[in-house]
Amino acid sequence: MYSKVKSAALRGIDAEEVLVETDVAFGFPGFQIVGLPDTAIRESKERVRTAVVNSGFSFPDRRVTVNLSPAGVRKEGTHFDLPIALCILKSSGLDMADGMEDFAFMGELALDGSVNRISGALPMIAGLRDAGTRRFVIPAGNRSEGTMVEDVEIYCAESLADVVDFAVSGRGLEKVEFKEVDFESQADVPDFADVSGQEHAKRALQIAASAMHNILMTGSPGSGKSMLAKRLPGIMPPLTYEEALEVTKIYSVSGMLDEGKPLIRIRPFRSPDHTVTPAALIGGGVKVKAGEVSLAHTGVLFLDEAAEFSKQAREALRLPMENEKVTISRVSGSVTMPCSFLAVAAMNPCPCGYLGDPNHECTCTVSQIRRYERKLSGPFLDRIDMCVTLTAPGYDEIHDHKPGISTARVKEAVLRAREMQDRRYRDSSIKYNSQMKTEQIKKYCRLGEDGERLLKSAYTELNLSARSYDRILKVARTIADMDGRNDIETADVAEAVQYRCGREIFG
Amino acid sequence: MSGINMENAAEHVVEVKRGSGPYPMMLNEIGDGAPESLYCIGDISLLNMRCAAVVGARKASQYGKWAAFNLGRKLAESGIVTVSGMAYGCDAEAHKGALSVDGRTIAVLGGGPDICYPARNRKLYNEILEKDGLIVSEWKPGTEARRAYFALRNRIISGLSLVTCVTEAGLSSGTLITAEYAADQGRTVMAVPYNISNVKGIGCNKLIQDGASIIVSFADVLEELGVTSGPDAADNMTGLGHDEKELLELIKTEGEISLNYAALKTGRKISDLNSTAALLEIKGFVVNSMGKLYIAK
Repeated sequence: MYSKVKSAALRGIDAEEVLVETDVAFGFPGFQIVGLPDTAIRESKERVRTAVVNSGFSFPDRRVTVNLSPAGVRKEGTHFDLPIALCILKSSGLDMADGMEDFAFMGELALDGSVNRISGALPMIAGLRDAGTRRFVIPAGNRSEGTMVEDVEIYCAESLADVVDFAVSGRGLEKVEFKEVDFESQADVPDFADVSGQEHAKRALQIAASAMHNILMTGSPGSGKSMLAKRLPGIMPPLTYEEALEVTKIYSVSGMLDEGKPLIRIRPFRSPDHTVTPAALIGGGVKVKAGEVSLAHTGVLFLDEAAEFSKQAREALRLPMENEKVTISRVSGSVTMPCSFLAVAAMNPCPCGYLGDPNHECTCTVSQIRRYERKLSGPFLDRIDMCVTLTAPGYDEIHDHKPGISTARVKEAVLRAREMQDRRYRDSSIKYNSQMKTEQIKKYCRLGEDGERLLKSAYTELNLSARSYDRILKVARTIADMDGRNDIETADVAEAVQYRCGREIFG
Repeated sequence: MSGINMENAAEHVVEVKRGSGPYPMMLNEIGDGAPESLYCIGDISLLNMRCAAVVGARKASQYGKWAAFNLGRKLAESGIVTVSGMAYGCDAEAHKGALSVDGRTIAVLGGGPDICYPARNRKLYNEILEKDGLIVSEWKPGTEARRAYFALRNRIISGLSLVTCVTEAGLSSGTLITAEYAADQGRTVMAVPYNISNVKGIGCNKLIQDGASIIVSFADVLEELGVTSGPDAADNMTGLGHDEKELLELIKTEGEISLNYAALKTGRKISDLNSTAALLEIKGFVVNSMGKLYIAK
């Protein structure tokens, strides 16, 4: 007898509907799964057979054929266990209640018949919802992910037996309610006020966060580079629901969510080690996994010791930074994931770290320093809009116990700048000042006569390049936005000049 | 305009033998250590003019470079030839200071005179020749520079000069070798004083402790050379706004400041200070190096 049950398959962070079809026919007893299953799905035969028996049902002593349709697309994951088991029982005579054909089922079975948590529940629910499915049965372990999607009806299952009862009677499973998420409270993000001094760097990060300007921080060990970077997500605007859903999907398919942290509520802060491989950075693997760039989507990618990253890793960052998405091509097809992040690179001024530090002697040779500097040049540096040097605080600065400016205060200007940008780019393809191209710079970064003159003299006196000229204009635009001004004033340009890139660390 | 540059330098090498007329008298006086021949490119009359050496660390702080540049400039303004080694950092700044007022300067190299070492200073090398300066070496044209040669050439730097000024030296700096040569040769050694908290200047302070003359102002060097300095151009702060003056005064008092420190001292907003600092930098009053502001002039 033929029957079918709806389920889903993941493609990157998107999902598509998969129909699980079974046929239980007379013939030599056997169990076949077709439709390009991966090893995990192939092995589900054993889990399904045992779970069905241990849940008190009998597994048909007949010829069982399972097809996952569309049969031409590769499928991965253990979440097909539940729909396969249910479909087999249906084929061997289980009488399902009306309306059950609208449901999509997903869940992994344990041998005792209980339903285990799966990865990727959220993207599958969201993906199927967009394709028209409104009702779902998911593992109880994925309950919190279920609370995040609007306009759907979701039920949680603990065991196969419960699911079968529900399928027959239409009752008995716990229904999950949609919950509004509070994105405003960011209690777990460390506060800027913890860092005293370094006002210059804080201001730079504030500007960077206002328009996603990638930034490079240089400074001796212990000058507070990582401490400041970790506090960046807190000064960025709260995630919107759509953004949160997108980020959570990425974490969901990567198996990085758990009951304690079902939803990414705060902008991610990723800090890959400098030994990271290009694949781990941009994503990959046989079973495609999100890379650090995607895990940092909408948040901060912090590259500590940026000069120590391998050349391949730095090269690999180029396209994702340019395109704000990565496409990973594998035998099983190609997958595209979003990766729009704020890159924060940090490095020491020299290999030993103490160049320019009045209290320590630098032990590097001139050529070592030059080599170290050169590592960061080229295409990577081209994507960096701002540079700031952190100095070790002097006596007066350490002994000034005035608490630093707080995250809440810093954030005000950031939000103001974002509002200005939202208004300006409403009808355009970009969102931030940092994304402006030449024509947009011409249109939106008009300077007054004085500003024009200042920039011209900066250009000649400070040996600026054409590229840094554009960057200064973009940063000046952001500084004016932070003040809520449409006109870029001369002081804005001057301040932007202060954060220009391309001064040689060692002159 | 001499028309000599790096490309054709090899064709213009002149050998000056010891005992011949153009051989520098000052260098001859040092006795056994004096090289038998000098290979020169440029105006060899400089060899017998009144010279002062300005040397310092390669990996120099902004202060050391500032001192070297201004000393080179002051010497050139008084008609003294600045001698140095064309190395990175202080040496290069000393040459640049002299050239900034079209002064004459001698670079003593640690390899053949036709080979620009370090290669990154080729612009400087060309400018020295262009402005009728002189490149000198005891090594035959084509000789590659070697580590051991650098210590040796220091005796020529000090040997050519009446006075050797050290603008920056750490505890184990190669610059101290030049000072030692100068003292052995019976020449005056002068050093720029440093804060006692600054590791980069310990060598200078030690020199002063050991009897080197202290450079309290650049005029001290000129006095030692027997020339009087021209009237110092008064601080030209006209055209600066109130905020700019305030920041500039603060930098002058403190020597070097970070913007954080400036914010603390002036109570002004960091965004304002940022623009003020940038304006001062564009106007050429201050230099921003490694996150700190220094006086440029």
